[in-house]
Amino acid sequence: MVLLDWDGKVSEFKKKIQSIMPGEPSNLMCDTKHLPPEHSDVVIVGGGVVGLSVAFWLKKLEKRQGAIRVLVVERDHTYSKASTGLSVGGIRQQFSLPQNVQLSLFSVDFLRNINEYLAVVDGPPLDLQFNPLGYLLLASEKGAAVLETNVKMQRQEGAKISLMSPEQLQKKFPWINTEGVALASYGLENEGWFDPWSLLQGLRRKVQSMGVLFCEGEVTRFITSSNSMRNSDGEEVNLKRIHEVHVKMDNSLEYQPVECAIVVNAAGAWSGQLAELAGIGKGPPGTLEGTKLPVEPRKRFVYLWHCPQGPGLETPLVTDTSGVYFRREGLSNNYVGGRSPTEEEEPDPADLEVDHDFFQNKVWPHLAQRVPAFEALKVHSAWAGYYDYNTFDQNGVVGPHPLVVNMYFASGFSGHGLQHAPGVGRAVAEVLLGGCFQTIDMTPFLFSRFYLEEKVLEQNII
Amino acid sequence: MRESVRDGTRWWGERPAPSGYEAQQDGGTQGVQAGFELTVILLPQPSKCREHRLAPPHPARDSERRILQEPGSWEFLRLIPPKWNGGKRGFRDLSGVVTPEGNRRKRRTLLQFLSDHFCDMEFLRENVLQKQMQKVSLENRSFTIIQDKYGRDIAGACFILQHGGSVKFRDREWIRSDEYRRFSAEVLKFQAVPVEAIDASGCAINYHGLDNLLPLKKLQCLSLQRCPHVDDWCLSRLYLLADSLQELSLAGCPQISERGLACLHHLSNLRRLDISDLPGVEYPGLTQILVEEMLPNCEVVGTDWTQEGPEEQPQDPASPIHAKPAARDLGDPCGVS
Repeated sequence: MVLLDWDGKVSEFKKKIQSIMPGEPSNLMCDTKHLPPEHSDVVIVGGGVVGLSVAFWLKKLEKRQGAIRVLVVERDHTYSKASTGLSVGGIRQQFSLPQNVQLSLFSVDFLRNINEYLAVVDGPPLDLQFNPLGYLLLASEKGAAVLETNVKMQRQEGAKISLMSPEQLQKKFPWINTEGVALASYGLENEGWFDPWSLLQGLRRKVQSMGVLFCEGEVTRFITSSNSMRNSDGEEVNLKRIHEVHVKMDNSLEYQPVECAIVVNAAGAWSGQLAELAGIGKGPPGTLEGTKLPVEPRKRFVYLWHCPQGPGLETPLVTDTSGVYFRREGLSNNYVGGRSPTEEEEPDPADLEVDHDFFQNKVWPHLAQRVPAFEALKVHSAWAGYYDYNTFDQNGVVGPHPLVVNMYFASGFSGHGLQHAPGVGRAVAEVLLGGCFQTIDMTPFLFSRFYLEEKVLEQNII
Repeated sequence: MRESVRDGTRWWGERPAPSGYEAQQDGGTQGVQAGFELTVILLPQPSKCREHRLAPPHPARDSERRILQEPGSWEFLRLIPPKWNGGKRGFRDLSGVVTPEGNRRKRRTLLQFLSDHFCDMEFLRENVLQKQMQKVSLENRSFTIIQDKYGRDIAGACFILQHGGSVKFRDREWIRSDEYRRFSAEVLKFQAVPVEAIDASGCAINYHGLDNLLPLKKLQCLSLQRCPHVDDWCLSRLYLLADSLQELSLAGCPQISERGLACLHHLSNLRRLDISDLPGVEYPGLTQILVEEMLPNCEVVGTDWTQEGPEEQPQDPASPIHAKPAARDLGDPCGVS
């Protein structure tokens, strides 16, 4: 083992002395502006709307100004593959789980008062371009009873949803073909769609002004330490603690170890991979150690088409019994929509290429059946994005991991992460700072349900 | 916020060190770093770089700002790139800050410059804005006491009169408040009489203030002309008045866009809708056509699209054709007498 690289050190020393000499460019200090800091209290992996929301609420709820140093690590600052920018942007309260309804209600409140929450000195106010037209969920005979119970629960939570019979539906929206529809639920207020990109930019701007640090890099490694303890049943449990996060810079091998106290996993579609890096799921199957985070990327297509005789200005976001959904976009009879594929039809999530045959074969027939005007339409463009799909029960994972004690999750929302982001951010900040959920009870969303096999199913997934 | 200021961390404590760890989005130019050292009263802000794209990335600024900006006042604080930042003038040269475009712009850039560099200036500005916003919120409280005692119609009427609007009860004359927002107590006597028409032109009603108006189930005529805080969210609540509302005027409201107008489709009994002069609507002619199609039984008064150009033809030839836009009626907005 070479103890001292003497020649190397001498030449380095000579270079340093040379650079101090007047007239030479100073190479004394390495340029570390692009690197993250060496220490940070909280490292949030993922700079999408959920990660930024957690950062915002951490800074808002901290007890003293400047108490917590927060670092947001985002590997792609153009957000080219992030689910936030590619989202259709809808927000609704029509869920089957009360917590989801509460999250949506809070998020809508947040969006309405966005210029109070995200105001920055000398910054122009945000225009989210919110369209308050509501969601229209159609149910066949099979799903009518479930829809009715759901609506009752939603109304109890404070959402304004109305139930319509096929006749009422036909009268209100004459362009619908009500064949096969037994019941419809229509959101009258606080539902609609908005521009997710402006929310992201607004959050970024505000969060930067609050002192959150940003870094463009990828997390490649966690340095953890283990502690063996006995629980009350006498079993041995291996508790882990993350000490360092290795953040690798883009297009280089350079990395920076960031010492941190808490890591928040808000990596969206890639949270499963990140959890594996931390050793979650590495153990014998069936144990808590062997329970993986069941979040994986699922590709979804969104198509933009033009239909000159299509439904008018009052069109809500319509979700058909077949799973097809669409909404208006702009003033010139353009529509945006798609469909969630069945398990067998799931496309390969390796890239974001669009399958146009999917529209021809699986989306258009149902569209034309439900809205006869859509017989004649022309697809102008399409794009694809990822759902951070929770394969267990299609609901988010929020809160700390039972074994890796300082990793907190905020992902797995399976298509409704954007609309729940403000509420989830607040919940994670509450549990991080206070130890428990205070405003909305998100205990059903903890990680431990995967081990205990308690499914918290969300039925209204679009 | 005062507590945080008084607890010493901001006035005398150590200044948060500028950290260079933020990734600039496009590696933009760093403006001239300006750190003012004045040993008098004003406290200097940490040095920072100005990037003109987004809001300036303040180095580790941990002040929590809840700036509640009134729609009028945000122009007051617009992000104007300071002209002196080109490196041509020294930062100590205050004369460079004063642009020759008039006193108002001078005041804006000077205030902006001051609040960039002095914590207390910024704090004062934030405070002023917060007070303004709180004023609007306070004015929009619900009149629950009056509601419980006299009923919802009278509570709504008192609310409008307090804001400087006018109210008309059924079979009665218009009641207005005077310039000091006082009104006679005879309003409280109209216990069983429903409110028929409300003229809230120019009133500072916002989303929460509408709570007082929406229970008026017999309201036929509502004028929200030039209300500065009425936006798309407020319009999305108007469906509660669908059974009775026949006339609605939204002319001149700065925050309404075509997305809010689309929510008016619930108002099936609407006979007259005024959507003229909406600065938030980008294509007034096209929007008017779409709204007319959406509300077939309603007369929609807006911009005169028939004179706008050959490309904007009516899509539905059966829709009512407007010869000229109706003049905005300041005195009696509703035809109901």
